[in-house]
Amino acid sequence: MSARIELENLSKRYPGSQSPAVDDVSMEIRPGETVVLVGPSGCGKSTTLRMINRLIEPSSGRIRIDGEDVTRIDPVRLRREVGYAIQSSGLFPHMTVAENIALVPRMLGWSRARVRERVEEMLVLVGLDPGEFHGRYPRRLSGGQQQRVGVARALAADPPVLLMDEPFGAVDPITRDHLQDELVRLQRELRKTIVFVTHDLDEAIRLGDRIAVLRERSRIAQFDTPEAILTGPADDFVSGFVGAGAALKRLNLTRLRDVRIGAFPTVSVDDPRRTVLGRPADGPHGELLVLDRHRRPRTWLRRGDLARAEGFPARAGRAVRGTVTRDATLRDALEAVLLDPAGRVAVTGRRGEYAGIVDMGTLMAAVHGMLEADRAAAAGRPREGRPHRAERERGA
Amino acid sequence: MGFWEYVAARHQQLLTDALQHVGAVFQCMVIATALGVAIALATYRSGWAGDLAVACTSTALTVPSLALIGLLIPVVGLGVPPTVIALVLYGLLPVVRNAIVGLRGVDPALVDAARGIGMSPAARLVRVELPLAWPPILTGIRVSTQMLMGIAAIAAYASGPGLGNEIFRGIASLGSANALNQVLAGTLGIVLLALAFDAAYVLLGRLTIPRGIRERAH
Repeated sequence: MSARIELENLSKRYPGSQSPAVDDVSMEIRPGETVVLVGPSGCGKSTTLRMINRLIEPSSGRIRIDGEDVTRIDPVRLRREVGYAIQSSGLFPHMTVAENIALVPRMLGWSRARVRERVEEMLVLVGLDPGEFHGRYPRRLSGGQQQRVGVARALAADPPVLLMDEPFGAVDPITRDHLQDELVRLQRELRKTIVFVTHDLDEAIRLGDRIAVLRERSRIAQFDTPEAILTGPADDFVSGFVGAGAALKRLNLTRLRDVRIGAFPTVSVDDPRRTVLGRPADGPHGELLVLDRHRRPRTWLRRGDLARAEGFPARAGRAVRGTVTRDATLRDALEAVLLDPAGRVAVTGRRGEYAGIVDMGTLMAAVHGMLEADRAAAAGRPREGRPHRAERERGA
Repeated sequence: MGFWEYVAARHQQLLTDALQHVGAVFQCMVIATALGVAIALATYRSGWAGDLAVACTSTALTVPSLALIGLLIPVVGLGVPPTVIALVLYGLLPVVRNAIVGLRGVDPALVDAARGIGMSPAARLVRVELPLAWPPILTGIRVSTQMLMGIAAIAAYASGPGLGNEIFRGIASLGSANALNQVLAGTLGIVLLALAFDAAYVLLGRLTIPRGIRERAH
């Protein structure tokens, strides 16, 4: 369930100020796509977002959701049909987690039983155990958990459109990364039309199917895919905003599951010594990767280690420290590779099982391939008809 | 006659006075709370209106209570009317000021969130703003009540009800056998009632302030 949003010549002029805060914005957001509005602070991106659910009344212009002109309907009704999540979660501290999530469905007149069921469902959806969190008050949640509940509340009545105003702006960087990944996962399941405001380009790149880079008065400097904005900024403003390191930022756009990763000779921890010795080793140090009974990477094993451990593979070698999952971005993978003393990192699947390895060579090949494809696309690309990120990822 | 003998001998009268005292303070507090919160609701959104409301109610408080009651007698007569008017006027200030401060202190992000998820203005007020402003409002009510307990004694001057009658009777007959006992009984009675009221407010706070915003005990 998702909807098309059309903004037509939307402007906001505050009485007593010379220039409008938002000047003549037109934009079409396709059903099920995530569009990120990004720009320097004070550029009017938040004002633009807040006009969509009419927390700010537009001075002129029109907003259509699924063809319906919502500039004329009752704003209270409109807001119940549009999910809204804000910075620092906006949870009501005097209500429990469940009561917060239940607010919109209750206002819409759902039955008690249906509301209760929906609350549990939403908690599970955002990765919180209903038994544990149902009756908690917001102050007893961490910042990340509060934000999850905030998203659950915004989605509780299953609105076709979700507006998010810097929702992850107030959480620490690690939690923010988690929440961003969660949102990508959620969106893959739900396919809402999401409009997301941030001043953080990296966040925009991670989340957006398309990014609108806004300059002052919310004028659109460029509205395109993250790849196109990184590789072909429309003007100096955009390239200034993208800043140095576009190639590095590009690494955030692709996940390991989308690229070809390397293979490595493996043995099982239960394999007899003979089998282990018979397996050709690989890498600059002549190693084997030992997997445990659940096929999870366990140790890096060299011939010499085996001799020293008197023939028991289980005891020999050095423990596998960092692994990355197939869902990790290339940037995360690069980080892990740079930190690894031997420059190779094991890649794991959903349950931690071995899936391959990644090293500098893998990453270089992937990046070159990506940049070439971007350039080719920028040269002769049809502007429409690009599949959503979710589809791309599912297809991969 | 010793103090306790006096109390034992006159307990009927004292009890009646105490009940009337409580009744007067309680009823005036209900009116003051309703009026005070209403004034706060009408004015807290606007900077100058809210400030004006606080200024007016604090001006009322600067008028000496005896003078105010004295001024009211020629206008509304003796007995209950001047008592109620004076008590309500004095009770207003803490309620109005705390309600305005409390309502203005509600995190604007929460009000924004309430609007954003589609709460009507009335629902926003009842479900979000008032519950969050309730702890300071309750504190205001508590302070008002303590104050009215003492001021209500003055009402006896206008032939109003309450323990003030004991005190005034005692003062009027200073030097006579029971004068000191009367003043003492009236005063102690008021102190005890004030303590009892305060305990009731602590209980009320426990019952009505949602757990999520109650201050931690430790």
